[in-house]
Amino acid sequence: MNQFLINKEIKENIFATKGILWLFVSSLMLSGLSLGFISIKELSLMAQNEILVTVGKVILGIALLITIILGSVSISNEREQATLESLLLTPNSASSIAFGKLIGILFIWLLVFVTSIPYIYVLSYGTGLFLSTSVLIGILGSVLVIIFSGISIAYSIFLKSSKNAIIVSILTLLITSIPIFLSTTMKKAGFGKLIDSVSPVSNVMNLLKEVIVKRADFISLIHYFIPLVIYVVAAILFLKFAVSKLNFEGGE
Amino acid sequence: MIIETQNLSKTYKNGFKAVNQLNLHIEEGDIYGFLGPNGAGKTTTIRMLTGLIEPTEGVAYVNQENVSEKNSTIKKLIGVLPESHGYYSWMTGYEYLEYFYNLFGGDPLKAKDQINYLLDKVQLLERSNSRIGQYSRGMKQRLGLAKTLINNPKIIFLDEPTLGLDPSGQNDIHKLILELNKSMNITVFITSHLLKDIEVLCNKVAIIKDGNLLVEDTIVNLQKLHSPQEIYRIKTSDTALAITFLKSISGIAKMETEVDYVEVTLKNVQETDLIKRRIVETLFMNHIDVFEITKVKSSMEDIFLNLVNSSTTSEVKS
Repeated sequence: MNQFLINKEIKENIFATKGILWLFVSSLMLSGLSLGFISIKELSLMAQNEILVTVGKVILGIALLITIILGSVSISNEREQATLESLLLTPNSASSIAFGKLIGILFIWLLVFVTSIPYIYVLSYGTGLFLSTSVLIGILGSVLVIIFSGISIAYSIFLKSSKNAIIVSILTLLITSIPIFLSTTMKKAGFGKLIDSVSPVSNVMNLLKEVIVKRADFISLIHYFIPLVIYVVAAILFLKFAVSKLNFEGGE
Repeated sequence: MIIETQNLSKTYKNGFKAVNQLNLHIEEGDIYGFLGPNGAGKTTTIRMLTGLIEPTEGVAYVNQENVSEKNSTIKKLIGVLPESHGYYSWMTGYEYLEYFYNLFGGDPLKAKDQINYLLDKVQLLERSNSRIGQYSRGMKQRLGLAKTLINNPKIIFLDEPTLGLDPSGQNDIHKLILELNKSMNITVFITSHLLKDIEVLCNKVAIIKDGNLLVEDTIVNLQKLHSPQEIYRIKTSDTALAITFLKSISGIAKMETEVDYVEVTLKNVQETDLIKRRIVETLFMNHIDVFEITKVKSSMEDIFLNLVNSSTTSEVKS
């Protein structure tokens, strides 16, 4: 993979106004949330590990939203601003261009994660959960970002229009997030149980809860990781398939 | 041959045949004009020659290599300025060229010299640190041309390089292309709607219509063989009187007078010699001295329109 492609993506994502705006918005949301946990009486009564789970969900939610938007516009934007043809005419493969964009998005996630560490530190103070929560959010965030940005970049290749790719990516995120909105009883049996066990978003949220609230060890949670690994592989294969369709066979 | 195609064809998935049995022959050092009306298949041909799309039939050779088989090798030999060429407006001109220099795997130690050399060549050195978003259209086009040369290509493909430029911008691009061709012996494959571009720059031309090659020849031969009409400029001792007598000659389609000469357009290109003899005899018999008869060259526009309008899709000449 060409490091210059990755450098350009990182530079474009971070130094462009949108990059700075993303970080500002995520910091603002986390600050508001933290303030709420301290100053609002009902929220301040919550157990500290429950607060950490909620903050973890917010951090991952912000990361997902940013990455699917960046992924959705990645290739279609190159097409719309007529820079894609020049890129494909360099000796770099379409695959290295697409995966360069994926790494650029992962870097943005890294920044969001680093920005959130002080908040995790403050909210986990005195619980001894700082390290495990940070590592867990870091790992799970990276997994979700790879899955959803991979899918979004693939949509960006197929749909050719940034607007359509964003809409379809958000719909995909919403569909995979359905189990979050189901009650605990609904998730215990039948269809609710099935979608809860296959949804990547649901698996990540369950993992957060198991580790931070129930303090379960990683080994006992292997059944949550397996679907996530499958999703990562599937997302990469889907992206590779989309890349094979990245051409000008249908004109502009 | 630095570029050669053998029965190159492209049919898109929707069944549209964009290019049909194209046979092109381009020598090293040529400035080759590729003309055709909108939708004739020019951009599709360039994309097949540069390995961006696969032909459905036939073969394209660039530098004696099959484009479909040696795609990545060929990409290092060529520079392409696509028709709708975009830029990263947040980058400076220098950063833009540096980006592509690196993507082509250029030597990092030589990057600065090469980029500054090209920026100087396209007269953008002073603005190299300005953001591309602040560049005019002409400046962007010159930057695009510099990007096309960033990997020291042997061949450059320019798809409508002067599109949307004012006459001064067009002139700058013409000068640059001619200079590159002469000083660096770069073969240039150029498409343009502006036939003046082709006339000024190219030594060889191909015209396509509906994906079919109508003609491929040197500009001199095209003017000789495919002029739609024969126009002669006649200087005489008495222009006004000459016109009176010329009116009586059959075979003259049109006459236009200037102060000291008359321009006659002949009706039938095949009978040129006969009509010319009639003109001279008529004027001589009426005591009018003929000082000069010179043939007026047909413009590329005349030739292009003649070929495109008179052709049927099955007509292929070479």
